[in-house]
Formats: sequence, structure tokens, C-alpha cells
Amino acid sequence: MSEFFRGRTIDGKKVYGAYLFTERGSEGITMGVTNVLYPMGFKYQGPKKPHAMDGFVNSPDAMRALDFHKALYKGSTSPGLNKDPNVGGEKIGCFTNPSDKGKGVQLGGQGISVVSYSPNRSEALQYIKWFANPDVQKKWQAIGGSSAANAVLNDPGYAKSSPFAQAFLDSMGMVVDFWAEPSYAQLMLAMQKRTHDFVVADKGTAKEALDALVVDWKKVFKEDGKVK
Amino acid sequence: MPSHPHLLPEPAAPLIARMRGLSDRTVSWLFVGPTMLLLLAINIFPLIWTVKLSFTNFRANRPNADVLGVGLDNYISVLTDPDIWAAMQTTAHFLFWTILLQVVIGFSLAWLIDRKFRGHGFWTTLILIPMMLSPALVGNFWAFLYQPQMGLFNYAAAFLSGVPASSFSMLGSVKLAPWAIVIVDTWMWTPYVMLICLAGLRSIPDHIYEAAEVDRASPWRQFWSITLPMVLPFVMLAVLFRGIENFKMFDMVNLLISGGLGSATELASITLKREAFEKWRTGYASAFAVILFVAVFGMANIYVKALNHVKNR
Repeated sequence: MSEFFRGRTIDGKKVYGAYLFTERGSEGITMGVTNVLYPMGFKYQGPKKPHAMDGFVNSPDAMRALDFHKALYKGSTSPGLNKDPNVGGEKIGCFTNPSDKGKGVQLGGQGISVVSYSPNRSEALQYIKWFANPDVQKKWQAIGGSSAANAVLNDPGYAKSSPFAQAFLDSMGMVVDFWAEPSYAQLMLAMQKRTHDFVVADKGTAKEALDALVVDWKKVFKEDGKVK
Repeated sequence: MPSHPHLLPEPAAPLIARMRGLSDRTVSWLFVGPTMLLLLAINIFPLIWTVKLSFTNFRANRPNADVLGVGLDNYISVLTDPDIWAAMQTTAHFLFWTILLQVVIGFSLAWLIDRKFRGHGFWTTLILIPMMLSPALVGNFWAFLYQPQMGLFNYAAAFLSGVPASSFSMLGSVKLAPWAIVIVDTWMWTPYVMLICLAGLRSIPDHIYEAAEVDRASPWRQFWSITLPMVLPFVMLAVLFRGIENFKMFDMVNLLISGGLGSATELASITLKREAFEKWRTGYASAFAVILFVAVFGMANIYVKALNHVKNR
């Protein structure tokens, strides 16, 4: 698909193709990979036993998805440097993540946490209460922030409020979150490493990458006392 | 009323006068003491503390959790972790090639500068500029130089080889990225090796060369029999300094490529930082740090003995 767009001439102009975000240090490549993994059948754990990852994280569907994402990456191109006046801004087009075995879009953003031993817990809770207020959420969205509050999404004018609003609205119905665990950072770093090694650095196979990911995650949960 | 001068308090002696009464040993301790205390506080204490933590499951991001002793588990985990060995291999590649290139180019430059041609002072200063820059700055601006579409490095390589500039990416290819960090480090630190070699070359007395010329030794023979053996201790010293520095290389590589692609440029120090300050596995990271310290300390000791042996020949 990405090769189809690479270097094509459309309306007399050379179009340089698809660009995939593969940032290594934080959470970049995980965001891209999970957008392919989720609709193609990847699951974090079994439905009956929490943290049972064998056969779910490294299922044949997950391997197929990872191979697909790698093929997509190999056909992509690096981001361009020339500003095209016909692209971007209000002219940007957005669509929801295509479905395969199911639906799924990775959930961006971070939750707000209140530190249990903070001396300012009540002020932090007050801030969250204020920020979750529908009017504040509407103002937040109006100045460019993203909001998943019903007060914003159910507003009749929302779908046409920006080029991406309709796709965002549709995506909210199919979001899947990464592990919501205290060891979030460790779990994320492991996925960044394994997927980057396979997709970008051509190290091993999809099966080896996902098997290694299961080993890494088990190690984290074992240290947390959640698996034996 | 009779006065009792012996009952009155003695006037305080000036500091200098009191200092005069101190022994040389006491005075030397007074001077060295603050430095010793500072060293103990910022070097020795953290080292002992790190060794202690390496035998526990302590995590710095969970200060309230129970800290349990885990014996040698952290050390066994580090030494059996394939990712750690991959990082050590990457570090070995980086060390070997940077030191080899820096010594060869650095010595060659020093040899040329030592010819004392016209304007050699200007050229020496110009060559020294890279080592005066901050590693963080170097990492950032080389990221631009390596940019495939507008980077000067790609244009220079394209000019010399005829390969299109945008057809390769030094930081975007698994095969080229390990060489990208070698090139930057070599560019930055070759002047340092050159300076040490230059000091070595200038320390060779002229009369040795004069005696060799009287004996009709060819320039090539003079190089192999006089220059190289007499400069060797200096070269070995440069190798030691660069080896220790590059074993713990972090800043430049982290800012240039962050240990990517995948793990292609993930040096041991970057792995250590990820374990300690991203995954917060403090006990495990402490064990890794202790292993690295022992390895560097041990190798440096062996090397210094070899250096002394060469010097005393």
C-alpha cells in the first residue's frame, strides 16, 4: 500500500508517499504498531486469566499484523521538508483505522494521577474536578485540545469543528488502551525495543519479537508480584 | 593593688603564628582534607551505596516498597541477559573503531604538524576546534549534517562517490548507524589524540636524529627505530584516555540517535541509563554499573602495567 503511493505522479506532481512514525525513545513506534495489531487480532491477555499473555500477545494474528506493519514501513518514505500549500492545515484528510478481524484504535494521551503521599492531594483532586467540568472541556477543545468528554463529543457541531473531528468521534468508539499498570513505563520500553528491533532494525522474525516481548512483560509482572 | 598579670587571659595569637606551630604533616592534611572529604562524599560513598543496592530489589521510583535482599540474582540476570551482551558488543565495536581511527589519524596529523611548516600554529588551532565543543552540541548538529535531504555529510559523500545524496541515511540504516557514531566521535576526539602524540614527538631530543643521520639511517628507519618507540608510551596513554572515555560514552550518542535504530547504537551506558532511570530497576542497574566499573578498572590496571613496561624499556 505504502509502495503504491511512493514517488507517484498525481495531477502532474510527484507525491512522495506514506510516512510512518517510528520514534524509539518514548512511545512512538508502539503507537503505530498497535494501530495495526489491535484490528488484526492482537490481545494483551486471555479473557479468563489476567496477565496470561502466551498465545495472545504472540498469537498467529499478532505475528501476521506485525509482519504487515513491517511491510508498510518498508514501503514508506521519510518525511518531506518542502511545504506544499495544497496539503495540510484545513486541507488535511483523516479516516478511522481500517478494520480487519475486529476494530481497534490505540488510545493516546495519559491519565492524570494523584500521588498518594503528596501533601497537595486535595488541591490535585480539585484541579481534576475543575478540568473534567463540561464547560472547561468545551473551552479546552475550542483552543485546540483533544477531549473525549461526552459534553464535547455529543455536541451537534462537533463533527464539523475540525478536519479530524468526525474520524476522532468514530475512533472513540473503538479505542484500546495499552497496559494500565503502575509499571507502564517498563512495559512500554520493552515494546518499543522489541518492535523497533524487528520493524526498523530488521532483527529476527515477528514471532521472535513477540515471544521476547512476552518474556519481558512476564519479567515485569513477576517483579510486581502479579504472575508467578 | 598588686597586679596579677599571670591570671589575665593570654592575648589570642594570630592565625599565622598558630599555623607556624603546626607540623608539616598537619598542614598538609589541612590542605588535602577538604578535597578528601569531597571525594568521599561524591565518589566513594555513592560507590559503596551502589554496591549495597546491587544486592537488593530496590526501585528508586517506589520509595515506600519493601527493599529485599536478592543475593547475587541481579548479577546473574545481568550476565545472562542477551540484551546486555548485545549492548556490550555494540560498545566493543564503537571502542575498537574509534580508537583505531583516532590513533591513526591523530598520529598522522601530529607528525605533519611537527614538520613546523608555515602557518602550522593556525592549522593546529583549527584542528583543535572540534574537541572544544560540547558533546551535546556535536550530537545535535551532526544529526543535521546526516540529514539525507539537506545534510552536508550526504552531499559531500555524494560528491566524492557519485551516489545520490538522498539515497542513503546514516542515521536511518541499521548498517550505517553504528558507523555514524564512530565518524562523529572520531571527528571530535582525533585532535585530542593528536595533541598527546604531538607532545610525544616534541619530547624526542634532536640529537638522537642527528646521531641516526650520522649513521646514515634512512628516514623510514628513523621513523621505525626512533620516532615510533619513543612516542609509543604517549600513544598508549591516549588509547587509555580514549578507551575509558568511550567505554562510558553517553551524551553525544544519546543526542545524535538515542541508541536507535532498534538497538543498533545502544551502548552499555545507554542501556544502563534505560534500566536505571526509565525502567527504574535500581538494584539491577546498580549490579550492571558495578560490573562495568570492575571491567573498566581491571582492564585499565592491566593496561597501565603494560604502559609502564613499555616506558621502562
